[in-house]
Order: sequence, then C-alpha cells, then structure tokens
Amino acid sequence: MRVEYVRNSSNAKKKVQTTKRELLIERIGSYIVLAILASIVVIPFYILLVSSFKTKGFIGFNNDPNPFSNMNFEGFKTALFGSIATFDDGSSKILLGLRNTFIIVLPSTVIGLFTSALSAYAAAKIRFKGRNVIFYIMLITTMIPGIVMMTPLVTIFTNLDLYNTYFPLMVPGMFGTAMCVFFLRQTFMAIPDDYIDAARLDGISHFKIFWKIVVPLSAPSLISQGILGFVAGYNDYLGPLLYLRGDDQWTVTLQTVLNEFLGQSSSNLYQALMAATVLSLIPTVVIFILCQKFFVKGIVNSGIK
Amino acid sequence: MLFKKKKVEDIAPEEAKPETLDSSTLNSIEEKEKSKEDLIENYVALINVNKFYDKGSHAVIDFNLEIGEQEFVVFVGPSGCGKSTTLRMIAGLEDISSGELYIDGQYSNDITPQNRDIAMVFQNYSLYPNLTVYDNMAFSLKVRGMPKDVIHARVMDAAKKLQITEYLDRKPKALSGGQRQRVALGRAVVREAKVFLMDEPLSNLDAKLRVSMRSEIVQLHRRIKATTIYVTHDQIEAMTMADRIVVMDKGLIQQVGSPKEIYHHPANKFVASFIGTPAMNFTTCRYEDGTLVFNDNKLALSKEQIKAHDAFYQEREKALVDDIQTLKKEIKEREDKLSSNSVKNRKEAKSLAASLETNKASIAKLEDDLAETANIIKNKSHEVIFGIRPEDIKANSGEDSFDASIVLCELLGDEYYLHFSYSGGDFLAKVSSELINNEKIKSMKFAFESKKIHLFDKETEKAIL
Repeated sequence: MRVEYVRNSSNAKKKVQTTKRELLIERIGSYIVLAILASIVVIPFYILLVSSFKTKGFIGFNNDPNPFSNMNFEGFKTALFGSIATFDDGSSKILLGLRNTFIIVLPSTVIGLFTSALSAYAAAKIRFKGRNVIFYIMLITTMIPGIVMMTPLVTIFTNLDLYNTYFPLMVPGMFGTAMCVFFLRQTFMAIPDDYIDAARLDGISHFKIFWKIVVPLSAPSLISQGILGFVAGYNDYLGPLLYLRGDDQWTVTLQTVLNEFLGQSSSNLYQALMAATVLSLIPTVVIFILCQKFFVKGIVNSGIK
Repeated sequence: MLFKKKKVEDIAPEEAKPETLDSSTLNSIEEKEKSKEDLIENYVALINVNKFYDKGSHAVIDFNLEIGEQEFVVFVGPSGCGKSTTLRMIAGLEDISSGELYIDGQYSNDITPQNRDIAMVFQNYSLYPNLTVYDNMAFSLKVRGMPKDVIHARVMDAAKKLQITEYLDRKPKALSGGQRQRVALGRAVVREAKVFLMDEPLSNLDAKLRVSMRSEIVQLHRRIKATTIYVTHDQIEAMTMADRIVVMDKGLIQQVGSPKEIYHHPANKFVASFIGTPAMNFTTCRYEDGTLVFNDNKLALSKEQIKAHDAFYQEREKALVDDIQTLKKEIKEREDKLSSNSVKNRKEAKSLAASLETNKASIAKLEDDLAETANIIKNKSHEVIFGIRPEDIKANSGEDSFDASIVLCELLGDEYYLHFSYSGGDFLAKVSSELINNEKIKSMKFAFESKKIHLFDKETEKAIL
C-alpha cells in the first residue's frame, strides 16, 4: 500500500510539473505573438516620430541606426512656418487647417451625437409600431460602403453650389450615424424601464426624460461615442480633399495641408511632412488621454466590445 | 377639473341596447347600470378590464374591482398572474385593452399617467442616480412648477416621517437598500397623490429588513391615509398588510376578501394552496353520503357540512341550467338570423356559423356537466379534493385519530413540522414542540379538526366547504 501511495504521489507530481511547464510555454508563446502584433502597430509611429526630428529625408534603420543622433526641430519649423507651409500673409497653414478642421468637425460631432442619441432613445425606450423595422433598416445602411455614396454626394453638393464650403463636410454628420445609434441603443436598453416609468408618473415629457435622466445616466457612453465621432471626422482625409480647395485661410484644413506636403515631397521635405503628421496627431492623442476612463466605461456600458 | 366626469350611458358603447326590449331585459339593463354607478362611486373602480398583448396573450381577464378611499388593497399571486400589469394599467403605464377605469369618480382610461394624480413605488426603487435624495424627492414637484418653499416643506416633512433627514444630501448609491426604499416611499409621499401604487417594493430587501419595512409601510399608510394598491407575490406580506386581498392567477381574480376571509374560506383550491405557510394539505377522497372515505380511514361530516355540500351542487345545477338556457336562446337567435337572410355578407354569415358551432360545443359540455352534477345529487357519491391546514391537524389519540408514519421531523423552535403520508397525499402537521420528546419520532397519532376541513370539487376545484 505504502509503495503504491509513493508511486502515485510521484506520478501526480510529474503531472503537475508538466502542466506548469506547459503553462509557461503557453504564456511565453502568447507574449511573443502579442509583442509581434504590438510592434506592427507601434513601429510606424516610431518611424514617424523619429523621422520628424531628423534632417535628411526618410531615416531608415540602415543609414542611421541611432534614433537619437542628429535630432533637430527643422521639420517642425518648416511644417509650421516654412514658405510652403504659410500663406502670403505669413499665417501658418497647419494652424489654420487645425482651426478649420475643428470648426468643421466639432459642431457636426456634437449635433450628430445629439441626433443619434435621440434616435437611439426612441429605438430603445419608446414603444411604437414598426420600431424594430425602422431600426434594422437603419442598421442595414451601415453595410453600404462610403465610397459608393461619394460620386452622388459630390454631384449633389456641387449642384447645390456648396462646393468649397463647409456644408458638405458638416451637414451629413449632423444627422448622426447608424453605428452610433446602434451603440447608444444598446446602452439605453440597459437602463431599467422603471426609471422611464417613474419619470412619466413624475410628469415629464419624453424629451425631458431623455435629457434629464437618460443622458446623465449614459454620460460615459455618450462621451465615448463623441470621441469616436470626433476622431472619425478628424481622420476623414478624403472629404476635405473632395469638397475644399484649401487655397485660402478658410478652406485650408489639416488634410489639404498634408496633401500639399505629400504632393511636393522631395527628400528634404520628408521631415516637414512627418512633423506635420505628428502635429496633426496631437489633438486626438490628448483627447484619448483625457477621456480614456469614460471611453472604456462607455464601450463596456454599451454591452458591445 | 381637467377631465369631465363621463356619464354612465356614454361609457359602454359596445353594450348597444337591443331594438325591442321586453320588461326583463329592461330590468337587467337597469340593474347593470345601477351596479355600474355603485361601482363608480368607489374611489378606484375597475370594470371588466382586460389586457391583451400583441402576440395574442390575454394577461388580465375581466378584472372587476372597487377600492374604497383610504383602503389598503394587496394584489397577490404567482409570477405572470397579471397583478403588475393591472397595477400598471391603473398607473397609466400600460393601455387598457378593454374595460373602464375610474379614479375618484373620473373616467381615467385616457388620462395620461402624470395627470392621474398617482404616486408609484417601484421594485428597484428607480431613484435617479445623478440626483441627491432631496432632489429625487423634489423632482416631481419641481416638474409640476410648485413654489420652492412648498417643495422644501413637503420634502422635509416626508423625510422626517421616514427618518431620512440625515441622508438628504447623499446620492442614492451611497445608501443601503432599506434607505433607498425609504427614499422611494418619500418620493411618493411628497406627491400627496390620490392613490399610491406599490409594485413589489420589498422584493429586493433581505428577509429581516423586509419585515421591518413591512410594518413601516403599514404605519405610514395609517398616518397619511392614502388609498394604496400594493402588489406582491409574497402571501405573508399580503396577509399582514392588507385591508383586502385580491388573489390572482392566470390573469383572473380568484378571490377578493379580507385576509381572514381568504385564509379561512378560500374560494378554490388555488387560493387555499397559495395563501398560508406552510401550504394547505390536499388529497383526493370519496364523498359517500355525508362521509369522507380515505384509503384507510373515514371521516363523518357534520349536518351543516352535508347541507353546505348539497347546497353547492344544487346551486351548480341551477347555474348550469341557466347557462344552457341562455346559450340555447343565443343559438336560436343566431339560427333565425342566418335563415332570415338578414345577414349582410358572406363574412358575417361565416362568423355567425362559427360562433354557432362554438355555442353548440359549449352546450354539449354544459349538458355533460349538468348530467354529472345531477348524478352527484342523486347518488351522493363522488370524488372530492380534501384539504386541511397544517395547524388543523392535531396530535391526538382520540376516537377519530389515525396512525401516521413520520417521514421527516423539522424543528422550528417552538413547534415541529411533521411530514407524513396520508391517503396518497404528502401531509404536513404543525405540532407544538412540547408534545414531542424525541426528534427521531417514527409514528404519531393525529386527528383532523373536523370543523376546519375544506372540500373542493374535483372538476372545477371550487370550494364546497
């Protein structure tokens, strides 16, 4: 009996050891895979950042292995105040572009978020015939690629004489997006109906219920959707290039400036292009850092990851 | 008054008067109108209220109830019995599919929830998490545009009544379950509404807190004297709090009565089994000319009990005869209509023919029931459901006693629950712990308290005794 017990015990120990080793291998393997995936994301940013501080063209690893050698701010100076980056009166295209981009993106994001939230509230909390049908039709529109709409939209806005104005970039966004409605509907559905019923008995209208109860209760989700909307508008490269000429102080945007840089790129302008790109990244990075807490909470609240 | 009181003759267009009226029909219509007026006189009246949902489910069926001013009425029943739906219809949060609702004599079907002057307490409290306790309580008054000093006075008064003055600046998440429930009550109290509705307000609390909140709600009701409708699935809450209990099952009212009435004279087997802890014991036995015959035992009924038994079946026979006559009359009318070519189109003819078929099938069923009832009256021998409450089974070694093998013995402090098998049913008796010396008791002699026994018809499960 005793011998058998010992044998059994050593077998069990062996098994435990094997399992531990397997776990370690598994963990190391997963770290390697994650590190590779992370580097795919990080390396372009690294090259971008390092290149913006180097003088001569694209800085590959081969011709300049030390990333911190010969660093300077020439690229940023050129991007901000170089002859190519300024209008005749000396104003910086990048700074004006940044201003104009904000003027275009901010109202359309805020109003778009508001209209999306209203639709989401109706889809989640107001019972009416055909509610689901309307909602699903709206969801189907997300499957239409944006590029399909490009030609008709350009034609429409040109015919409306709105070419080279902010309207084509602002107005469509103000109606909200189906994806945002979908996310917010999920969040609103998680709010117990009793709140709505209690508010109805308290005697407030649906709009007030939405504004005074649902909006404060889903602030994180609204903020995260606002950030997503802002970033989507801010990152829209094609829109401003299609609708704005970018040749004066009011039609220049970040996108048109970057495009201008790209069009004229010679090896010595690479640094300026990289610096301009880094500058254009700053607002989104700041917003993400400031609102990261709301962003994560908002996405979790919506029940969709 | 915002809404005009509706005249009785306006409110039931579906009950169109027949073209020719004989005196009996006129009388019955007059009686109906009179009883309707009587109903409306009550503070809250629900007349033939029904709730249908889109997918064809019938959640509340022909709900008729009148509630007096300052009364505390409890709707009790298992989940899905329609009690919350009825409450929500009174609140105006659900539409009434058919029927009429009167609050303080006012036809209220079409009045919006905020104009019904109703305050409601929800199961999950529904306190707005972004507002403080004070703001939560003041919210509905602010919405109604009341002066600030009135709002403040009302909130402070309610807070004092409910002992939540010290929490007024806190947000709901900083409160315990009991405190949140008090705030929810306070939010209703400040409204000084005509009717208080409470939808399972204690379900989220632990057992101990539930008991203390139960008595607080009753005391609050006595202080503010508001007409209260309270929904619960907990029959103990219903028994301890209600002036009147409405027992519901499958969308139907099973019985309305005071807690005592409901407990001692349940209208049917469902009510008998639902009310009372532990539940009533049931088994089937034969009724043989005034004696109940069990597998190994017999129990003689008293003269009053036999009389009540006979009266039950005679009344049933009479009701069945009436129903059959009414149905026959309806069938004749429909047949006449079909043969007299007064039917407008094929669709109407088809629907008439279909309802004729249904009526004929109903008649066949009623005639079977009638034959069976007549048989029972004649032979005085039939199967019944026997029921007795655990406290009405006495440890006894007298003449009518029987021996029972104890399956399980549970100690509850001052009393034991003894489980045993009797005539094919699982029975439970409550016995004082002083009578039992040994917990491993194997058998015991019991006797039923004959005055307290209940009998139910096997077919309809209605109470005979």
